[in-house]
Amino acid sequence: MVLTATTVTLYIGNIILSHYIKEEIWVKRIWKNLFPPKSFKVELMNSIDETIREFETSHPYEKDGIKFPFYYSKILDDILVKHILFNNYQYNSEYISNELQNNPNIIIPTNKEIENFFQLFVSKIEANKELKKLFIAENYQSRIFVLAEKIDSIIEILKKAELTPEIVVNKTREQVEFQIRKQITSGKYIPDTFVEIDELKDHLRYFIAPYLFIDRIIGEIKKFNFDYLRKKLILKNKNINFDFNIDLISNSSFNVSNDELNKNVSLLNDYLHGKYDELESNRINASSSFTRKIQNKIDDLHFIQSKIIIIKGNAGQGKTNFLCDLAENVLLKRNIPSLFLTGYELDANDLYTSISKRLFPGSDYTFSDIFSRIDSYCEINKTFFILMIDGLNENTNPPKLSQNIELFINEILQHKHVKVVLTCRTEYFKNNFQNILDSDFKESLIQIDSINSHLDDNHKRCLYESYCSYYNLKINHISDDIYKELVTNFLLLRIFSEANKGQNIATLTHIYKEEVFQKYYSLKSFEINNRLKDTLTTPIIGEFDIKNLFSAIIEYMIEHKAFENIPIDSLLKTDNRNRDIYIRFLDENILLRKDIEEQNGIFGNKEFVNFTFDEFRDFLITDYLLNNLYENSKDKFYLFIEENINNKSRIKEGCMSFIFSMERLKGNFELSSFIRKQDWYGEVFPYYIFDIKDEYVTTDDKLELKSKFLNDRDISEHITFSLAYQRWNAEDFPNLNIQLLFEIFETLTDDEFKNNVYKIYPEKRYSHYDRFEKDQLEKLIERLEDILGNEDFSISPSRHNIFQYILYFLPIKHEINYLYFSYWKKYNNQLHFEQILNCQSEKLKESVNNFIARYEIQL
Amino acid sequence: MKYSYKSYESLLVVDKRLTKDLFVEMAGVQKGKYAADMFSRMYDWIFSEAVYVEDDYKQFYEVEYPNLENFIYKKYCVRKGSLKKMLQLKAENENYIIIAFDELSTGYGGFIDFAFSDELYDRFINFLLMKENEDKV
Repeated sequence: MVLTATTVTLYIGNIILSHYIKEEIWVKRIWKNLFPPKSFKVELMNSIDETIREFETSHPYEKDGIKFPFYYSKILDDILVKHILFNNYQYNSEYISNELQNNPNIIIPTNKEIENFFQLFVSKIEANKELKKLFIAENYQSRIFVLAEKIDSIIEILKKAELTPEIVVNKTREQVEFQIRKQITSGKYIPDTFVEIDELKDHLRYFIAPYLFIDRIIGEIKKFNFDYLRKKLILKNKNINFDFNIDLISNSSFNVSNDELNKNVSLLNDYLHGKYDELESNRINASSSFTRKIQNKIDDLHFIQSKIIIIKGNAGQGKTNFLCDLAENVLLKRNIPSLFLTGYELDANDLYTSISKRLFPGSDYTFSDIFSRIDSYCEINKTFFILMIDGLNENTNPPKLSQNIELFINEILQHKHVKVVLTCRTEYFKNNFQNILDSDFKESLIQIDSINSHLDDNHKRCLYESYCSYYNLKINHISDDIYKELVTNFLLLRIFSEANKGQNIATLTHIYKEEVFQKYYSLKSFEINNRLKDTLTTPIIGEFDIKNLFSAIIEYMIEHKAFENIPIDSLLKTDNRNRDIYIRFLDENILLRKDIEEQNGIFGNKEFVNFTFDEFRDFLITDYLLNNLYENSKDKFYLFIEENINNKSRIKEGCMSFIFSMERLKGNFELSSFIRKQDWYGEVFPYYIFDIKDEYVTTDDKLELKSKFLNDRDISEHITFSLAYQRWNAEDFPNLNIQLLFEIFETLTDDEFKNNVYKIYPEKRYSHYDRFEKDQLEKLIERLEDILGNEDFSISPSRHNIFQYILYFLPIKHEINYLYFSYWKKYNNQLHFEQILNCQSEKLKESVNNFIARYEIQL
Repeated sequence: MKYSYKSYESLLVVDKRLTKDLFVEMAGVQKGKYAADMFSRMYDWIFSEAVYVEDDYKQFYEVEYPNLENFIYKKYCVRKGSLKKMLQLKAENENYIIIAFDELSTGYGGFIDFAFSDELYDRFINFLLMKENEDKV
């Protein structure tokens, strides 16, 4: 046993106590009550008691006046305690005997009796486990605590030694993979849909992996050919020998270390700048081709050297999609270490901890522990570490983040292998993060103002194909109009392809938007409700349905007759308990967006909600009007329609179209009568009737179309093209189809044909740019020649209808003769002649009769 | 085969054995004459700064894309039908390669209307593929 301070205290306490306790008390052993139960002292006394009782049984004493046996004496007790506390304090029978004799009232034992007593006592002590436990607890507790602290710190040191660069890099990889999965689930990332436009993705590649891509840039610069320029300079009598040779610089090593890379890229950059200036100061006509290619490479090198990129853009432009694509395809596939956070995930008050906790939740690793490993990994593997923060605007504390992110970036960029990519909504950046542009690191910063803003036809097609492929949507034939509508409105493409996921559409000539929107809205509400319930860290309070937020927006719009900039605070009043969840949803969905409006004065900026897609808003307004407002208060409904759905309204176009189609679904005579009496209804009828499903078109609608055909040329054109180009197929449109057009044509006079039908195909004008350009009718003839040669009409009998249609244009296009005769030879179809010869138009009949005669057709 | 993926930027399938000397020789012009110089410049216009697509893919992009076809489709946004034809043509001869060239960067923009005019298009494309001159290699 080790003598401890506690032991000594206990012993001294025992001595002091003995001064105050009379021998009688000791003899009666009532002192035990003075100590707290379950202490070492009490337990020791219990063992002494037990020893005395057992010894007393085997060695009874005879009472002799006031004398008592030695084992009841305080002196023995003291010796026993000393024996235990002071490491088996050696006893001596004679010494004890002498000590006992100090008290005349003690019956003095023999030496043998003392030895027996001690043997019994020792055996009792050894058998008492509780005594040992209490001894450790009372004597070693503080020591154990100190030791535990020391062991913890040793474990901590060992743990940190275990945190190898590889472990950190693996963790960052897991984090990036997790973030990508999260963005796929939220719908902000659609894999494989990013289309490479211009140099944007390559520039980001150069930024991310400069050691690799510097070789590509150098290779391209080395190939620069200035022969034509030199020739021109000679011709222009300019006494300049334009020399261009980067061998001296390019032979240096660019990928040995970061310092070498920077040094050599700077040299190359200076050289190119010099050459650029040389060309500019000796401008000739062809100079721009050469300055352009030099400037392009200067731009490339800027990305190689820069340390921070800020990508700005409007809502829904695809910033997250781009960053995810970059992370998945450029970073992960090249094993470039990176971290991918969202603005929402950052704690603006402590960016360092919020980042380290994202990587190692529950551990004590500090930011500097982690980044020291990243530094050494990058140094060894000659790579950069890319920190990506998507959507600074999504942070819950933008003013604080704005202050701290500048300091944070400034510090993190001190690590020479770290680069940063940030994204932010343009207007939020302007309001909150503009300070970054004036920071100490502004020289290493590149701003990208927008992505996907200039898509050419190739890019649009690629994007269209990517969406169809991702959503496993097969469209065998799509009309030009619908294709154009989808590729010029990618939100519609997104909604359409997601709503029709996994479908096989043979022919797409029309999009019934109310049907698509309804499907998408139900699908997304269901998904969002489930996702928010499953993944949010903030608990949802009470009944939660994201549709409530949409309803609150629409109700606000209708009540206030305001269709944009709905104040967030007014919306969240109804369910303020789940405010954070709604705000989170606004940041990560594609249907609604948060907007900021700068306000002067003490109230600062205000946030609003807007729909990203006006047509979707108009659909929800119409749905609410017909299914809620009309049901609850017809008067309010009538008033709203009369006051807000008119030519002055900003929601008129979308709402008119949806009211037109959706009121039919309700089958309510009173409602239909009211709608059809509106001033605008007659005007839009010849246009919108083609937007509703064939089954909802009535006989009255067809009569109405016939009666309006001659109202003006635009209407004639729209009805003709809609029936001929979109509804030629009577199998797909058994109700309203091209046959109605033939019925109309039958009644038209020569003048009516001339003014309302033939003019829809204007004659070809001379084109300076394309001498071979065909007019629209010629293109149709060409297409029909193709169809005639390649398609089997027995599979699609409605194809005959288009050949009947083209026959009506025989009087204005000679080429139709050859086409139709080929058709006649193949199909011998007399029905077309029969129907056309019943027409009122004399010129048309004359042309057809001439055709019959010319080709000697026997009817 | 030529495919314009951007204004004045195209992909071409060519025979990799086609050197400048062969190009001038195949044109049937006399060395030292103006025509020889013109064909020499025409060769430079196409080849001097061209990106050799497959080499570029292998050296810098292979890790990102499952195959060359996907790389060309994504990076150059080539129409699927045209890409299929391009790769079919490339597969016809092991010496055929795909290059990307900027029609304006060397300054010889005047060749565009000549070499790829309607009248000369097929002949020039076959010329680049050495269709009738394999024996000259």
